[in-house]
Amino acid sequence: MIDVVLRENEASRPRTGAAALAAMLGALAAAWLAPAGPAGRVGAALPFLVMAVLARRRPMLAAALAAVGVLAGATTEGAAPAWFVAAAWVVGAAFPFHLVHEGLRREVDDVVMELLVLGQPGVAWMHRVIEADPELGEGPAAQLLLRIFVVSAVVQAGLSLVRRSPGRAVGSIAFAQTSLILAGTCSGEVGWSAARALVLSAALGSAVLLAVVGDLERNRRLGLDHDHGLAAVAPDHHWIFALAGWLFVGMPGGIAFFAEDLLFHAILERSPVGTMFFVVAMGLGVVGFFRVYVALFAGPPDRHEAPRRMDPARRRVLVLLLALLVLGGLTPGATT
Amino acid sequence: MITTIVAALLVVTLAAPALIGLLALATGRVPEKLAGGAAVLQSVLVAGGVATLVLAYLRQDAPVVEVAFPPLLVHADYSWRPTFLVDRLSLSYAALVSVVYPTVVRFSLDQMHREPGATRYWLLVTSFAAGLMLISLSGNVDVLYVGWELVGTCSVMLIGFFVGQARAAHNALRALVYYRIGDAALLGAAAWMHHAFPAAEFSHFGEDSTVATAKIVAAALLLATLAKSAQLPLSPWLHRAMEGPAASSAIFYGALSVHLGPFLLLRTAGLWLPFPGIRWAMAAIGLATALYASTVGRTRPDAKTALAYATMTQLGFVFVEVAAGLHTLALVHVWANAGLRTWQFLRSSSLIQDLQDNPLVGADLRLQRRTAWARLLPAGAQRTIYLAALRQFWLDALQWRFVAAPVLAVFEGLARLEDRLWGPVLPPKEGP
Repeated sequence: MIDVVLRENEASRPRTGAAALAAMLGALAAAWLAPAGPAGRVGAALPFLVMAVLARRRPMLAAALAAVGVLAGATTEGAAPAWFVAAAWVVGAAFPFHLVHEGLRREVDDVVMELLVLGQPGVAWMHRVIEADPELGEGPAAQLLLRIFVVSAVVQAGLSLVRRSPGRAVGSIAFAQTSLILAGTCSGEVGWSAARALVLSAALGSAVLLAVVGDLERNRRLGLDHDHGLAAVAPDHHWIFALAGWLFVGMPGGIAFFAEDLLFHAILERSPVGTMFFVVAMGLGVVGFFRVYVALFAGPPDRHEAPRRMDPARRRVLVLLLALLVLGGLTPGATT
Repeated sequence: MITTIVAALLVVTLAAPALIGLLALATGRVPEKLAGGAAVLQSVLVAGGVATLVLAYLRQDAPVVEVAFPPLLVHADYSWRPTFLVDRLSLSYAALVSVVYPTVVRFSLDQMHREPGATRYWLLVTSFAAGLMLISLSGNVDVLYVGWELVGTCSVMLIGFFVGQARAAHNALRALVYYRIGDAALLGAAAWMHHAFPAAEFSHFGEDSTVATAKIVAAALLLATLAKSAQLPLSPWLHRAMEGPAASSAIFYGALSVHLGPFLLLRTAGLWLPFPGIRWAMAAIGLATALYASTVGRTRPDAKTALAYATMTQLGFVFVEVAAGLHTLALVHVWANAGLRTWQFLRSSSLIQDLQDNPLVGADLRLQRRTAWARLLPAGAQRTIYLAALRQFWLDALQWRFVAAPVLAVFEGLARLEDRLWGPVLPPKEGP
């Protein structure tokens, strides 16, 4: 039943054109690379404005995204702490402003959401604002934001336990990591080093997981309400998903392990209460990932399901990304 | 000399899973013989390495030898430095690993031959051994946590090893939840040690116990051990963990992984011994678990689950011994329990044949007499206790209903918030 629902939902979302994807990529690049000053403001606002155009079929959503973009562009160095907190809360899509992203998810195809996870425009904006005005990153405003983001991480990680599609569940875990990354940007130099490494881990890990899910869902959507038994028919997907997933959620051997350890210490210096939420978010994320793994790969396979091997070129790319995850984990000094 | 042996032991232990993992990454196909051979070589080298380490330790006079390597990560006042401790406790546990692990590897060679997923099994088992050696020889909580996580991950993946059986995978998911509770407690304790203690190495825990928040850290460590050693109230996962291959059940839940709780308590004894409250709690939990597990174990219909509860019972007593300060007795008890359970788990698959062929096995079943409880309690009470034990005193159901379900309900409610704002997953149909 849920497979039918997901198929129909997919059919109602327009496929994002090449021009729109290029605009999105350009906007994300500008968010990270644009220097301070007017170009920086444009770079900060651009990703959200592009998303507003992509969401034009839903006026309320488009308006919300445009407002986020304006807010991002209007906030740089010299902002009052209260304004900074409010802007960061919205731009960082912390709870309940994650609802804007959820609206976008219903409107665009999965590629755009994956680009968001990889591009992390909120993190780019946050880092540039704090770098331009370091006092913002040290005062009570940063403390408050840290707590907001770790609570948001718990919410997102918990949502991964109830999502009904594997892509959304993985996306929720990725958004939980984004919230932790944003908490790291509010936690001083050590926190930013950890956040940087976690950005890399989140990008690599979610890219692999979402690619595997996307490949498995090539012919039909998979719901998480029952087990699909794909381990027997898709062994390549099985072990790549398992390995990438464990590394993604912080098993020793991947970048995320040391990044989260470093982040943990950075947050602990600033907020012991925030640390508790951090630990809870991490735990929920692990359970969320394993839930997806069990639903996709456990159980007897559907007898109509044909065995499938992963395309060799795709497999090579995913293995390379996995290798980067492991290499980064073995050389934590280089990635943090 | 000891530093060199420790370094060599760690390289050897980590090399096997690294080799299997790299080959799997590069080629996608690792022959079962190669993976099994790597495990055999690892087990032999671990046994030899530990024996050499024991000899080297006995030949020198210091009761504790700390081995520190250059930090892997340094940032401001934070550093991640691999530190190892060679003392009576670490060598006792490492020696236990060096005896049990090769036994299980040898058994597994036959059991896993031509079994689908055999390579996956060997990768997990060799990784598990690496985690165990890290824990055994850990000199600080950072290294211990790496091993702890590795052991937990491998344990969960092996519970769900027969991935074609949905029940096994779902039981693995349940076990993971309990493990994460323990891991969260350990992580919290670890971070606080770095934050508040003058030194986070285990060798300094005696001084660290005077820190104001040391009691909270000790309580967190106790919580971490409850999950790993299946003590109340975090015990429902253990019988669910019997889904995996008999060899992994033996090594994890009979011998090595499940005894990591007492090991951690013994390792950190300097921290919690001064706190009577923690010790009383430890003893009470151990005693309650022993009573609970011995009662429930009598109602289990299959060999492995019965053995799981038997292990839990003995672990409860070990917790009491540790709390009472009888640490040598506790270590001996761990060795004895681990050895016995390894043998029993490995033989569990052949139980029926053993009952027929081996006069020693099942003798107590054939000669069963009424127990003291059966003579003291009225029949009605026995029946009530039996029925409650059959349902594991509803521990699993109560935890699901009053802990897990409300948490999930909160997140379900938040997910419905999105549907209310943006419409359901299925948007309204358009068209003529």
